[in-house]
Amino acid sequence: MTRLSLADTRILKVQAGAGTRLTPKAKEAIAGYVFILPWLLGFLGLTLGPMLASLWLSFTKYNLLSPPQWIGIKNYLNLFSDSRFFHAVRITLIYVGVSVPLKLGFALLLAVLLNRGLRGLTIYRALFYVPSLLGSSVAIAILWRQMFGDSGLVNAALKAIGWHSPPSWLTDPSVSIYTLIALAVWEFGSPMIIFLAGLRQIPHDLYEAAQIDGAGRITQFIRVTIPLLTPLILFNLVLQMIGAFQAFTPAYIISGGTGGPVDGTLFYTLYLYQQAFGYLQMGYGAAMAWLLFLVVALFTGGIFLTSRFWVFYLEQSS
Amino acid sequence: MINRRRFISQTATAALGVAALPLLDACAGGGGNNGSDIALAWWGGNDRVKRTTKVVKLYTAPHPNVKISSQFAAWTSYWEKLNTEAAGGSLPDIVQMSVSYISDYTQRGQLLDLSPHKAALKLGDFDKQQLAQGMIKGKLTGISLGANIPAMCYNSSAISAAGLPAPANDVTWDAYPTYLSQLAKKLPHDMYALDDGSGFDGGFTVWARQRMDDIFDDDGKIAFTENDLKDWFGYWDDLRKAKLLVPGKIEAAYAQIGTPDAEPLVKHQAAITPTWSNFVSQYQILMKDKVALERFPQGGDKAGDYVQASQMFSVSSKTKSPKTDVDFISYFIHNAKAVQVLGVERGVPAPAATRDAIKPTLKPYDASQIDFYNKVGPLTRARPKPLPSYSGALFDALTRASQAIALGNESVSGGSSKAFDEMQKAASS
Repeated sequence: MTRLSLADTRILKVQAGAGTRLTPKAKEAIAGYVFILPWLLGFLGLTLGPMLASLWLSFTKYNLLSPPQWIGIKNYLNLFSDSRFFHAVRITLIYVGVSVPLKLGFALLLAVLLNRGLRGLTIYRALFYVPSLLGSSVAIAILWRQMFGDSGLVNAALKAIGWHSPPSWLTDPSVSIYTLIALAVWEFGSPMIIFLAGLRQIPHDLYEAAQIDGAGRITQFIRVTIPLLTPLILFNLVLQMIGAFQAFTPAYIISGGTGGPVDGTLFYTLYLYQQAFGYLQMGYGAAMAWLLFLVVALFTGGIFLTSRFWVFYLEQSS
Repeated sequence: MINRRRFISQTATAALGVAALPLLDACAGGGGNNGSDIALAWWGGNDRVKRTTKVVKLYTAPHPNVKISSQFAAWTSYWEKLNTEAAGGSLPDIVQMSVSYISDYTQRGQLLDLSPHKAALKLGDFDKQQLAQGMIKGKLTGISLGANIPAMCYNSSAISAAGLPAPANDVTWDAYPTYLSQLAKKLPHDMYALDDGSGFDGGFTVWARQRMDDIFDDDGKIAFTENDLKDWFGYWDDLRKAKLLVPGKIEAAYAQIGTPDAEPLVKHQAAITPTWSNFVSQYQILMKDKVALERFPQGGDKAGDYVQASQMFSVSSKTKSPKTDVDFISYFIHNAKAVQVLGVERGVPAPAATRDAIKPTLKPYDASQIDFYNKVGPLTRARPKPLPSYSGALFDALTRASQAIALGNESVSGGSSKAFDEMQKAASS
């Protein structure tokens, strides 16, 4: 299709307005918009609208019962004198900082193992993927609560092999966050599948060339596999990081909504929920939500900025 | 969890939360002049749903013109929904109301003043304390459906097996540790004398009211100080150090599960537990040993014990059928059949005649709530003021501090100062 000049489009518009037939291009555009209309309406009505409403609410005091009261940036200022807020930030950063690298490392390790042409690969792949399907569900959180309880399966097993006072996985405030991290790491399935697909894409001749140059398996992994996987590492890192910042269900279920013991599992989102829906501080909750949005955007932007120093695209080299 | 106790005392049931499933509203057409459609809302678990639905059926059977549609939910989602409805000006006609929110709702003009309907409500023998808790600034906007009293629930079988008398009803806080240590010596070695009550809102309120008028002042501000909190947590910490108290690790394990069957008293890890008086029924259902109630230890210069309306019925100020609403509430609290179905599930009923009428029909453990109420009720000091709406956040801070101190994560003074700071924030937000 040839490009139309600006003058041509004006003429076309006039013609369309005069009731003549639409050009194929305009028809195409209309069809396109009609097709994305359901999504567009959903985005405007169910995402953008509520987001803007929540932005406005974050500058108000609102308990649902009486109309929102404009209080300027007071909600944001109050956050900085709220010790539970800082505690929730700390807990969340630990969760993100520990669970994401562990999960990606684990996913990569298993992807490499599975890529070596195991027999029954599809079965293993499916099995390893199952936790990801279940992991964020309420049922699994309840299962973990039972398994890691003081008289649960895990401690019964540890006692059976001779550890007489195993840790209280869920009721010791300094341990409970790591139990949640373990649950997150266990859901390594989806990054694993993505890594596996990436490993399949790496051209064999590169490994052959490396072998001829005398590289061993480990050197090949570091010099060939990792660099060629960096685009996928970037992708997984960003997705998993955003997911971890927004994690809610495991802490909510395992602590019964309190973030306990002693706020040991008080995720940012859980504290937000408590403020908004437990204490009906909707404005405060909205301010927390926007702060989280900004922080996640900053982290994501930061990762993208650094990516040009460490992410390697095959096309660039050719 | 001890703050779950408060939560459950408000729901007065062990049943897990019920999803917010409005019953099908089978109303046909609008209500004519002689008919009414009433929307009824309450929070609570399965047992309450069964009992309440049954009473609705009993009421509507002889009133074919009245259609009652019910909506019920667990505590948190109930308030989310009710607040949204209030914001939209579409509150159900009759709503179950809590002492924590009645003040807000009344002051925002959401609730109907029922004073002109006193005759229809037949409040002659209605408990004065429960009546007062539904009275906000001269307006009667809540009719209590039952009340509880903070109490010490004890395993009387275990205590008599240890050869000790039951806790006395006039024991002082100062003398209490002596009794507990005598008890601890005779109890089985894995049973502690007392369950940790330092995070229990009712217990703290009773104790604090013995030294001051109330924990909230007339303007709904916090009336106790950080030092009061230190004294309170310090008292319990001394018991803990003397090994008279269930240790933090066991408490935390219970809090993690949170249901009554995991409570130290039920699991024979404690001989006495501070709780709301209605819990005696749940414990007795779960235990072979006999359990009984006694009031809190005494001290200070005032009576601290109080009766708390666990829930009330309020009428929306926008209702189109105030007479029918009032008639239904009156039926709910007086009618012989209705009160028998309801029992003490919402707490001990306020009308004396109702209490007397249902007592013979109750299970012994339910009847023991009424006995305790009749015995301790006259010794309590009235608490007519409603709770401020931030009280939920305040008591959560109490529970967190209690847990942090019990687990050794905070010192008594550190935990108290942190909790007091959080409480002040909650009060000012």
